Amino acid sequence: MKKEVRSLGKWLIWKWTTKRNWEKLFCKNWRNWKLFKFMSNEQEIKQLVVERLKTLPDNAGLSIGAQGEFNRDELISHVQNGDEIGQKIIEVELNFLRGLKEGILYET
Amino acid sequence: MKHNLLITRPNFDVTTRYLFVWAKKIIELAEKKCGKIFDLKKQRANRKEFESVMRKHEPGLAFLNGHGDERTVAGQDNEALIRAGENEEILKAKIVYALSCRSGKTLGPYSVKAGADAYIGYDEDFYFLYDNDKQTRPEQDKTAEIFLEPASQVMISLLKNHSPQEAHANSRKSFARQARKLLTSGATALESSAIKYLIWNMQHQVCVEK
Repeated sequence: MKKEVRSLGKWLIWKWTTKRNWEKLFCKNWRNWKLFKFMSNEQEIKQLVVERLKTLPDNAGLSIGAQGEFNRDELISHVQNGDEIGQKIIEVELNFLRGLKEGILYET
Repeated sequence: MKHNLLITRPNFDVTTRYLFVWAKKIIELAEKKCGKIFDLKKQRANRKEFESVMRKHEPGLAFLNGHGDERTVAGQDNEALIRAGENEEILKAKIVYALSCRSGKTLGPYSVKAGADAYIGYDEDFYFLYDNDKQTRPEQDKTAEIFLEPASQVMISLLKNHSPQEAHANSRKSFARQARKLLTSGATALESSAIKYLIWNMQHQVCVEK
């Protein structure tokens, strides 16, 4: 049963990512959070973050303060390498998901 | 009461170029709301000049733009303007807003301990997305505006004589409003990506007071 739920979770994540609107679906159904929890494996999280970064346009840059400025491909590379910048990007992504779960946008 | 304002605006890389241009909007507002304005831009954003203006003119408000870390806010070419444990007492009786990474973590509390009225900053890195095609015209970059407008709200509120806590709260509300707008509207892929960074900046903006 657990395996089935896990694979359903993966399918849902893939579906949402490719549709580029999974955030909205995620918000509408908090029960999906439980499925997402199964995606706790580091590699899977990296993959999720990379997929999300792929939605950034070519001409976008991200300033991370004194760390510098990065384009989409550089960000993806940092996440895949799991270096300091990559960890920061992953942290922001997970923070976002936790924030949504806690309703951060509606508390402020 | 009209405060005098000191503003530091280094300009030597993409990030500082954006902050430089956006801070100009604050200067325009300050010209109507403030007493004297001391604009330490580019090469003038150095420690010697900064300390000299702070000591001589004692501006009530300080708006610091630039890179930083837990203990430091930097000026032109990353020269440290203030460093915790070295010269934070220079901020005594001042309200400070540092649009700079992480200085809210250590420098903020040190400054308040040394007598600053309030220190608003960020206890983690400040992120913003920008459009590479607009790098040379940051004022026209709608992507960066998503981030820098809520961040500027602190200074806008302070210039309207709101308390530091109110200015901090107004800025956080502005970040949240912007994020909600992007979540609910037909946002582009880039705008959707902006939401997580907006939330991050909002969560990591801190206000340390006496």
